[in-house]
Amino acid sequence: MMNPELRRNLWLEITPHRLLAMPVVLGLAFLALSAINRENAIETVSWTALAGFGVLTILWGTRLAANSILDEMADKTWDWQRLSILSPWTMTWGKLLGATAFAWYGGLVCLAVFLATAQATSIASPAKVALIALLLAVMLQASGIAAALHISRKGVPQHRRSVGFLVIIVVLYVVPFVMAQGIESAKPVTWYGMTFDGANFSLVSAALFAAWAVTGAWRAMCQGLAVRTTPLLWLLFLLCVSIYSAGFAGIGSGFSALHAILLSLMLWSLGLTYMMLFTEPTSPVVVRRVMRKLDLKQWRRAAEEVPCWPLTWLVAAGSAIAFALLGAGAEPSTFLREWASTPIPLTLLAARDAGLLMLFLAAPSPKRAEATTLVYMLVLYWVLPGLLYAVDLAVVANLVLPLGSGNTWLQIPVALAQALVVWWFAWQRVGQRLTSTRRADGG
Amino acid sequence: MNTSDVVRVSNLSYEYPGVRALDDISFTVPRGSVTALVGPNGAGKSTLLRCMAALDQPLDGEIHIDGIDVLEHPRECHRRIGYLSDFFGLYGALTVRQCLAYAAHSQGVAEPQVDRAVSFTAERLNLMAKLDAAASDLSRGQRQRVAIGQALIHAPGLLILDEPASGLDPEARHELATLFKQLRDSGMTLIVSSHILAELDEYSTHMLVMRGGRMVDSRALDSTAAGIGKVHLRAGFAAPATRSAIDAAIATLPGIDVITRDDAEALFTAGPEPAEHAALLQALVSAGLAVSSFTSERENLHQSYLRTMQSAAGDATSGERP
Repeated sequence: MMNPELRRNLWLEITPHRLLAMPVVLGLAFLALSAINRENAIETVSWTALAGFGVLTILWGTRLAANSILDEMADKTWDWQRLSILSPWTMTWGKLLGATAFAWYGGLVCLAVFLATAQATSIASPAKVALIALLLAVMLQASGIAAALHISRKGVPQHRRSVGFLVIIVVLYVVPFVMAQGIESAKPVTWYGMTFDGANFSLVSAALFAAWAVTGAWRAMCQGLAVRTTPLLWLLFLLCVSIYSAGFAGIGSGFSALHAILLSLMLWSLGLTYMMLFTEPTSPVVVRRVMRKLDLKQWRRAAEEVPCWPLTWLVAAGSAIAFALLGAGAEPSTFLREWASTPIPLTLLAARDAGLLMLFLAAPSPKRAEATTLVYMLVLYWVLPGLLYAVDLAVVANLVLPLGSGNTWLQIPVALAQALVVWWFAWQRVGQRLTSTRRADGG
Repeated sequence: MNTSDVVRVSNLSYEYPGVRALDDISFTVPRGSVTALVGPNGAGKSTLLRCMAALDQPLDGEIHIDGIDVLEHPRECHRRIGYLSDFFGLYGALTVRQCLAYAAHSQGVAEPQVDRAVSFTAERLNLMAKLDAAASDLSRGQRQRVAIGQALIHAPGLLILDEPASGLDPEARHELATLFKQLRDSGMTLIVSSHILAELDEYSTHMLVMRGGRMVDSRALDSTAAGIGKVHLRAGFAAPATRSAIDAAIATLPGIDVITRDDAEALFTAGPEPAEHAALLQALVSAGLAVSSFTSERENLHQSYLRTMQSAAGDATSGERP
């Protein structure tokens, strides 16, 4: 039986008129461009076709993929989908291919034109470039679905702008980088000290992250469809992306691959802690859910309920400590020896920031808790230390932002004290919230 | 769980930030029954139904439908239930036929049976003439019928409907009531949440009453053993009857309660036994009240609901006393 979600999308996306209109419009566009630039007509058409593929599948297709979730929520049809018996995987690929079907149709026409005319360009291996572009489109479309599902778990479909913003950032940073590697095949890539052909490396990278993006969309769909999952996949992704990124670090002269992986793991997990902290549903109710499952010794249920950010923070803290311990054994007066402990106060400050958010989320009317936290972070990281430095109170400034002092071992207790104080207040307030929960009628 | 129960809910609790929407709720729903879920706004009816449909995750408790743990196997439970939300949407660009076919496909109806299921459902819901119309072109009542069709196209054993009659005109409501009776007669179990108690009274066999996130009553509407079949006795007075005189007259009669009273009329509840009714009449006359009329009527859902809510309010007040 054909995937019902794919079939529904095809009913909506593919009509005889659209099937005819897309190649006609694209053909006229290519014709017009070749007429404008007659000297390099074929080359112009080839580059335009590649760009057309990007616009249709990467930009428009990603928007369509994200909207395949957000529109369901806005139109109140999402409950029907959640009530179906379709598995998360069926729903994921049904949306991934179905909602973007028309964009893919146009994109594949463009890709065919590109492959047919690519000999007029300087691209050494057009087939690899086409494959990279294809994988990037899959990666970004799946990321769009994952981001839409993830952000909508906060119950606010109006976050569609946030999804669009995230997608634009990824498109602007990832696509030009990966495509450039693919197109400039002659330029080799060094990864963990090994040299690879640029196109081949981009191809494997795009395939790897396309697979992760589809996996991410599937996991987000599981959560959307109330199918229980543990955060194991998320932690595996964290490890994978860290190992991948560490390969680009300048390894050598005392900075080993293990140093690079630990540092990369710390940086990724710290960044993703913040991302998840502000996008995952987090509230005293979530705390109560997890605690209730722990009370009942339902370990798997507790793991399913726990948000990703605390686990991600634990990875950041663990890798920061491991990095510091490794760095302590480095040659004296080296960069590594002096800065090895810096990640620890960074992770402690992240814990403080999480505590701030929990403090505001547990307020009697927790509106705009995320925005309030961001304002406080701005004050604590920039405004207050800047003012204190300006009036020559560097010692006090280092107590507010314990990253400026030269002695990294002094930074740790200050950051730890901040985290503990904020979490003490946050926990008190969470406790008050949990005990003062009123009945639905206010009774 | 009794094998005749299609739903078993145990110790269910649900929280929104700062609000406990469901507070330790337990009840069962017998197979083949039509259960009216009633309660004031904000009582937690919709939250309860969404938890039962595995759309919202409760804080605590268990829900079993046909023996399946809903929280553990939500997709398996969806095979057996149909659910209509109070705020549903339709795919406006699809035709009614496509809407129903998509619902059938996504609920696991086998491919060769989809066309038949679509026709059968459309006929049942009086939508045959609209099969090729876009959903966006339908009236409110027609949209409601398409939505109900989507919920029951896979012939679920249990149909959960949250305010299915809201926004419908009287004719559409009557059609809906007729449909529910047909579904009940075909053996389907229905749970219907509604504010329109007079309609629920037409087809309901059981009642669940919620208040402040708690289940304050859960009983059959046609079972004497469960306290149903309570009879309402209405007494008219030729001369003004004081409240204290009426209360004093019935003070010694067990099982008789007064629901409403004014100078000219009083409404009592009593058991179904005629002797109880005679005793009440005698007590009123003996108390010197000028009884000019005395009629009995079966307690309807609305009266039953009001009595339950009054009782629940009384319990809450007495519970608050130090």
